Amino acid sequence: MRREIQREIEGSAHACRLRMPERQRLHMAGDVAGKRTGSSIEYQDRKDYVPGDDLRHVDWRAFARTDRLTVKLYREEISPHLDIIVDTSRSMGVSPEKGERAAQLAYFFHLLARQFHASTRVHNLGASLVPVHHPFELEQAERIRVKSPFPLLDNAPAARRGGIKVFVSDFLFPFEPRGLARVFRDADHVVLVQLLARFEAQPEPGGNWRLVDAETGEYLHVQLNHDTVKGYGRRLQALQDGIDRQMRILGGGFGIVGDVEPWDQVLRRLFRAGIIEVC
Amino acid sequence: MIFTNPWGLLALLSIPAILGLHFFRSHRQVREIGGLHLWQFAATRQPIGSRWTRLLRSLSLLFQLLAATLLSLLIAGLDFPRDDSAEHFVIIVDDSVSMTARGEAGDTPADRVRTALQEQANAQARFTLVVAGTRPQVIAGPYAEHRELLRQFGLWQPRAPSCDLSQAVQLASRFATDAEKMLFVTDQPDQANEYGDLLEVLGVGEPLNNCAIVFADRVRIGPDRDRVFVSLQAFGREEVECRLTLRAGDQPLDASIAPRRLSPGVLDSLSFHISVLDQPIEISLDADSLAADNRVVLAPVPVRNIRVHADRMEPLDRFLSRSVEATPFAFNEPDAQYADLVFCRSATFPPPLNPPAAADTNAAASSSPEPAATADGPFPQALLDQYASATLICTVPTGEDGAVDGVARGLDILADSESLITQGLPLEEGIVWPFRATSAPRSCTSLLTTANTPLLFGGPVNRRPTDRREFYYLNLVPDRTNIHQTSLFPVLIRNLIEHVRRIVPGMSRTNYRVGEQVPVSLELPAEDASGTIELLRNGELYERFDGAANLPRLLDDLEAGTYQFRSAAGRSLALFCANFFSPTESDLSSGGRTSVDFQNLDPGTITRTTADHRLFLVLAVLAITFTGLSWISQDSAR
Repeated sequence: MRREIQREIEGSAHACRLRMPERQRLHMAGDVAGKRTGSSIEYQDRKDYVPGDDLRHVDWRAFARTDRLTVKLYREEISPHLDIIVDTSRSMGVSPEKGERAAQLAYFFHLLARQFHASTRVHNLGASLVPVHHPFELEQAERIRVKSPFPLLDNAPAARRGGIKVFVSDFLFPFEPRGLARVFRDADHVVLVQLLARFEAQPEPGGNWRLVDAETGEYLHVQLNHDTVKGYGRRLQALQDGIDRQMRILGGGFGIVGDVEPWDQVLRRLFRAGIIEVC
Repeated sequence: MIFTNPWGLLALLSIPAILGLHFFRSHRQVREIGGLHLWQFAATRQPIGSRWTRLLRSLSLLFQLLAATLLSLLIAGLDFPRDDSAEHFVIIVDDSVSMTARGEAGDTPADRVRTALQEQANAQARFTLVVAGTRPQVIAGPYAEHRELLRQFGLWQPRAPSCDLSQAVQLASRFATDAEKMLFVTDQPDQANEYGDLLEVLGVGEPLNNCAIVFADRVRIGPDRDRVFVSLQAFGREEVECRLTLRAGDQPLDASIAPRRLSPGVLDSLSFHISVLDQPIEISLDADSLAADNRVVLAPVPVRNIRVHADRMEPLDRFLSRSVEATPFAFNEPDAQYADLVFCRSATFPPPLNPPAAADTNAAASSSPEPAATADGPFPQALLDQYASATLICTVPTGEDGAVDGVARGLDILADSESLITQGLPLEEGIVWPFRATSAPRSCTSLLTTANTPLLFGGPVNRRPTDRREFYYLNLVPDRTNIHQTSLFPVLIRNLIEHVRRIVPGMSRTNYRVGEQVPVSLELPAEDASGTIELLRNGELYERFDGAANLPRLLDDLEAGTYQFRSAAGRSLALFCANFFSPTESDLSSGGRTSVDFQNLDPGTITRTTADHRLFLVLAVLAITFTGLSWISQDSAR
């Protein structure tokens, strides 16, 4: 990764933060105060006791004064975990910029996670789902043909357990967007980033092309004219709308970024998608 | 179909262009992408095989090539020959003026021809219509349709002074098949008797009485009088009374001509004097069957005075002067430079007629008898300058050396009968003493000779093309001949004067017969020579000439009328008339009718190759269809 872009990413990571999830199902108490009540020492509110409430939180002093059983409520204390899953299949390497941009995104989310002291793990989703030590290693990942990454994600602990999931992929494999809910059913928060090469995002009309599928090696002869480009645009938009709808259901964020657009443009896109916010 | 047609050739280029487009179109760029399933809808069908194989199997290419080929052929002017066979009639129509004679019923033979053809001719047949006038002419066809035949007949007006049937038959035979009998339509069917096997004759005339002016002329007989000669003739079976009317412009002339009773076939000539010198006069007869021969217009006679000068011509000068005085409109001119005709003595008679030196007599006799050429021609320039206005110079040898060769007395004098100069000039009664008894130079024209000795011969003309002058040599020793004392000497002088009158610029005659050739010779001022010259007929523009250089030397085929040459400035340059005189046409007594049933005519059959426009349309529709199919096949391949 070039030093300039690395510095730019690091600078932007200081100015932004990841929009936090509303619920966190971590078994271990953390350093971050959640929005819900929990077991931290920070007092939040009190309420009347109902059977089932933790007796340890009953305010006995108040009971002595008022003869009413009340329960103290404390702010929830969370210790978040971020799983960054990056698709490194062959389609993510159709252009050198696309592979680089995937690593950049992973590095960016990795930095964001460190800001709120979350534990982070970066996963390389290629032939299998394997963790990497540093996002930069993704650049050297072997690009192999993967028809669909979902089978790998289905039973992977990185996807299944709770916490924040960031999944960077082009989502250009055949799949049903509703399947996303199944894959990330246990996650507290899901961020999907669709990374598209320029041709995949906005093909220009003109010429006859043999389009080869990076994952399967199959090809089609296509005449790129206004009609065909428009048709492709409609289909891509339908796919993106489907993913976006599922993310809204899950309460997650879905952003689309390009491989060659400047980094500040990427940030704007993530910001507009509600994935990040300004500190 | 002509592919040398530049548009067709250009259109043909579309074929390699289409091939090229398809060839390079099949060249595809390759791109690796994700999400190929999103492009599935846009996949085009791609034939398997090499690029050429795929090209050859491309349906859209096939249709486009077919469409381009058809369009190229159509643009190149493709026509599909179609053989049409039809009955063919060759019709010869008498174009002479007698076809306009109005019968008792008020119609003319020309009207009857139109009616007959309109009613009887097969509308599906083809026709070749030849009019037989002085010169035959095809006016409809060859192989014209019925509609065209009638249209041309509507425009046709008989006006020829005679009908030359033999030439018309010769022309019409070119269009007739071997077995085909041609139809001859005339008012005088008898003239076709000798073509019995060739022609079927439709007579449309009728015997009519007619009185005609068969000749008229006008001559200048004095400074203030013209004499008019008129010949009348009646044709038919009855004696008729003819009354002549004379007009000059709008005014009637009182010539006191009593009505004349004319017996059939008898020629009645009369003459009278008129004092109207400067305008045309019109002589007309009362209206009868044929209008064309009832009226003549006689233009004023051109006055062309000839001035004659005799230079050192003793002892002939006295006789010369009297001969000139005896010739009308000729005068003796004392100043040599204003004379039109000059008689003079010349020391430079053309060799070998020049007296040779004694030493080379034999050499001169055996050498080529050609005149010695000077820089300006055979005549010395000094002499030409001296006679600046002369049109004809007639010279006799000086005889200064005293050499005289012999006497031709007793020998026959032969005159060139073709020449107008020697008309009526045997000169047998005189003593002829030739200066030199030898033959004339080859380039000279001998007019009078005795044995081999030329007595009067035309010299070679001056070599300058602008010089109109002519030279005549009188090879006589004036001192020793008595030819000038003979009665025929004035005739020779008059002939020479009339010859000059013919060759000086200007119209020599002003009254012509229709069919006669009119020689055009205008005396034009310098300012008119380069401008447009118009020829008017009866006051209306007949023809226009761009400058005097483009004037024809002869006018041919003039219709009856009064003609005038007019300069661009409106100045009248010449006036002349053409009048219809033709006793054979005026004689309507032999007119007769015969009938021909078109159904019984044995027509020829012609096979004509014509362009088939239906096939052209079919091809055009096919081209459009192929264009559409190529578009559809390309569209469906997506």
